[in-house]
Amino acid sequence: MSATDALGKLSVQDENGRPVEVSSLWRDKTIVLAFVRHFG
Amino acid sequence: MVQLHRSIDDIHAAGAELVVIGSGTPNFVAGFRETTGFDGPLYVDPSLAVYQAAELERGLLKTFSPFAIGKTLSALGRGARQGRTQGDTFQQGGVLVIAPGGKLVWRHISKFAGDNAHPSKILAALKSAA
Repeated sequence: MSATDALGKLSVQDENGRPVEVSSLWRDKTIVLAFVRHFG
Repeated sequence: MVQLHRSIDDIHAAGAELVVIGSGTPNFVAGFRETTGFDGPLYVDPSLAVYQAAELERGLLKTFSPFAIGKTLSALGRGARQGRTQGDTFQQGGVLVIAPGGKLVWRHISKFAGDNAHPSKILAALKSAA
């Protein structure tokens, strides 16, 4: 099982709080997926 | 962050998309957009489950270590601010380049605050994936 198998089955939330399956993000094109932390 | 959004034209030229995942609540989104000017796809991962699946935990722990916090503060003290507003409160946790079908092409895990993925390396990874 590759790293992206587990990742792809999870969901993130869009700007309206709706769940979006992570694998849908790379369905059509290569993505640069940047994880960002917010301080303060 | 994350001067990464400044490379967005190059990323698009390579046929790819820059997708940002934040750790905050959906309210995180407005602040991030305002600070960075980024208007591309942006999501949040309040549970951090996605972070964990991306194997970023180690990086995250280090981000919050006293060493990393000291480094961030001293960087700000030297005037190394990068945000448009007051200070740079956004830190990169890591970057994954993933091709259609889910192939992991490239990965950078930030080992400490300010350890950001270099845009030229990301662009090289995009070329190799094309």
